[in-house]
Amino acid sequence: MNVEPADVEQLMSDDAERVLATAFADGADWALRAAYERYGGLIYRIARRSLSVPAEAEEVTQATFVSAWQGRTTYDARRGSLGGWLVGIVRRQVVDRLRVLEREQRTVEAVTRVAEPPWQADPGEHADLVIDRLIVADALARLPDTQRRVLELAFYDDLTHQQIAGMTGLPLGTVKSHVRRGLAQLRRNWEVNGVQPA
Amino acid sequence: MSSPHDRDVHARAQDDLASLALGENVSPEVSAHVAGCDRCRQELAAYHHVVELARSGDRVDDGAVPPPAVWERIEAAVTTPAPAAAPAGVVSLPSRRLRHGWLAAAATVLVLGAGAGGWAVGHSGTGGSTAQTARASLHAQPGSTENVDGIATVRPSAHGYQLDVTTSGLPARDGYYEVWLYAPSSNTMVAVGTLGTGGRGTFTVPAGIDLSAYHVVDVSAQNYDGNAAHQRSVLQGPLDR
Repeated sequence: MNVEPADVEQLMSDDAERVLATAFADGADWALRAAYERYGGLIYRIARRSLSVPAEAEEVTQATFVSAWQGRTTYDARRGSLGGWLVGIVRRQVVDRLRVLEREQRTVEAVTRVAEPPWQADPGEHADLVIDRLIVADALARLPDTQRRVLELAFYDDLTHQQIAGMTGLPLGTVKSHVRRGLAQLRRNWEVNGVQPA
Repeated sequence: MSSPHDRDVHARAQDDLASLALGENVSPEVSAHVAGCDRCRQELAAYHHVVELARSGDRVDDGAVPPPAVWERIEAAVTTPAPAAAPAGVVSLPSRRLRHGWLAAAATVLVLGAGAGGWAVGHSGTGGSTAQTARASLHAQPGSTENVDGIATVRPSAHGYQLDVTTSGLPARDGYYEVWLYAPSSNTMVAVGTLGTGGRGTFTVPAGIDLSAYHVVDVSAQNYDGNAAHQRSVLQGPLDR
């Protein structure tokens, strides 16, 4: 397969990911800030979507990075991406917090007889779905512009490849190639950083 | 077991899986293959799942970022008393300065570069200023020998910015050493050139590279295997000033 600019960009970004992960595990003095710049937004958005109170999302974001930095020697770059490891930490933080909220909610219900608990199922499952959606959305936002635009038209406007070609002026083959590369990238991100399916 | 023709259909099916997951029509031959091929079916299921996550997550990524206070609290929580001594011959700056060095660099160049997008190269003819020199101490990375170190400096030149890298202790090997600039925030890196035999090199920072973003200098050990991608970091350090 020939290498296109978008692939080179991706290769560089995968490399950079490894450089950052190694520096983080090694405790390089710039690595915590760099990891926060790269993943802070995603971690915060995961916390915010899972916990309705903004102050709690901020607290969980803070706790995630502090405990990641303090526990950096337990991170093994050979076993997974730094992003995936951070997502695992924020997930535990969020689920713990949701369990506390759920207990409080039950207590309130017992007193007031309000029906419908906020989480029908396990809070962990709810958090996992939120996390996976955000990881895919985050990966989409990071795609090269044209790839992202093509996928957005396919996802949200439900357009066929032919319609996307007509709308963007791109040749049909190029649309298909953007779809293939872009979706493969989203999938890779989800597999690397997402909550691993059981 | 499979014939060349089967392998060809399989390859085409692999190319069509993403389109299929989005509900596109594909050739009957490919559809028939996917229905009967375990690997294609599994991959299609993974693509379907990702498409569903993307569609159901419409607008969930509002791009919200944590307020600045969150970073301040993280930094306060992990700040420990300064170590007694910096590693010999590597960094002589006080640790506090080191930690904030890149922030200071970014802030400073924004002022100096007034209207030119910070470090962004391209304002030729500004010549005279020598104040913009930035420096990076390069530390040995895990897996490289202990006594390896280096220094990188950046200074304005007639062609934008010039990067000088001097290293010592890099072992001679059947390969070469490549110098990179790394941007943590966008998580990208650019190759700037190959170190000479003396472990030194002078490079022009590629046009359009904003050094306030690409503020980490990295040296990697590369093999002569036709793979130009970054292979293994041996030295690294952030530009400071």
